[in-house]
Amino acid sequence: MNCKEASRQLTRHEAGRHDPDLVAHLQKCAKCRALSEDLTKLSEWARQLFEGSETPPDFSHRVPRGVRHASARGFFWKPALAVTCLVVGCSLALFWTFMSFTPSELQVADSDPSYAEESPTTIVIDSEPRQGTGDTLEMEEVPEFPSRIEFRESKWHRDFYIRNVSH
Amino acid sequence: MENALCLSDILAGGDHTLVAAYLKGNQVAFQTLVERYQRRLINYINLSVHDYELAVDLAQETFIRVYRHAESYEARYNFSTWLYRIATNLIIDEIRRRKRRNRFLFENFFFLLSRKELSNSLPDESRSPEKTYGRKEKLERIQNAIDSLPPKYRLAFVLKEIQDLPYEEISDILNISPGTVKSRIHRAKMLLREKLSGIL
Ligand SMILES: [Zn+2]
Repeated sequence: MNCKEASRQLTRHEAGRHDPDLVAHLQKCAKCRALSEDLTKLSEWARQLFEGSETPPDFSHRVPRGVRHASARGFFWKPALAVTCLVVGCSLALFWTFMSFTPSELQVADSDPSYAEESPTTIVIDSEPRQGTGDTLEMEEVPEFPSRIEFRESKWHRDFYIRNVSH
Repeated sequence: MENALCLSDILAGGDHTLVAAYLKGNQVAFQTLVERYQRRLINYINLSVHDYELAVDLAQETFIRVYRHAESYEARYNFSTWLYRIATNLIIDEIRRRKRRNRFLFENFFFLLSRKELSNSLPDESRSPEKTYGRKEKLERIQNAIDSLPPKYRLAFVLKEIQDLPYEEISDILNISPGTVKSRIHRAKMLLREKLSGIL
């Protein structure tokens, strides 16, 4: 047995210390004898850490109290969570409904009398391009649920429509 | 009279008998289980997290979980194994919480894996061998040295050397092989010996 094997055996179990090979090694190796003595003392002191431990006098009564407290907390907590989920769910449903009425893209039509008849809502877009804004369109009025956007006829608008929208 | 005898039999019985009685609605059986393990459990948690008040709270939480989930207890394990396992999970949660709360402090206290860093983390007792220590001071220093061990070594050491549990049970509690348990305890003892060479 070498020192490494001896140290492994010494840290394992009290019973292992009676192993003849280990006993023979300890007789001739002062280093491992010192290790054996230190580990024995360490174990003795470690046991005292348990002997000195304390328990609060009312601990065994705290547990049922803790269970009741936790149950009571759960009793209020679960309905509160359910109500919160309901409110969030309704809000999301309303939001989704609102969004579903918004057109995904703006439908731009040329001035067509038939459209004008059908269209209850008309968005007025600048009749003339503003100075310095180039081709930017700026809305003056946005109805809540626009069904269609119609240009007020002008040469610039027609050119813009042909250039940018109608491909 | 017969009921009284039955109750005394239950209370004097093993953990399995007490758990079975509790599952049938016997609250005294549960109380008996608490009284049987409270000291050991608080000691184990206290030495693992080094905070007595927190240890009492976590021990209470452990028993509350037992109280609520007793029906999921498998009788093929010791009751103590199950109890210690719940407590160990709470200890690990606490260690993780500390890590998140104060990463720097956590690294300095618990993650000093190399021997050199560990040696530097506490005052070196070996440099003052002539100094004599009182019992209380010695125990404090040993507790501090245990506290300075990385958690994986600390838990194995406390379960074996302080709680005196068999290797097989520690293996079930920590969910590692018995060989790994032995190796961790060996490492823990060698580190502690090095740290405490002046007072052993
Ligand atoms: Zn040797």
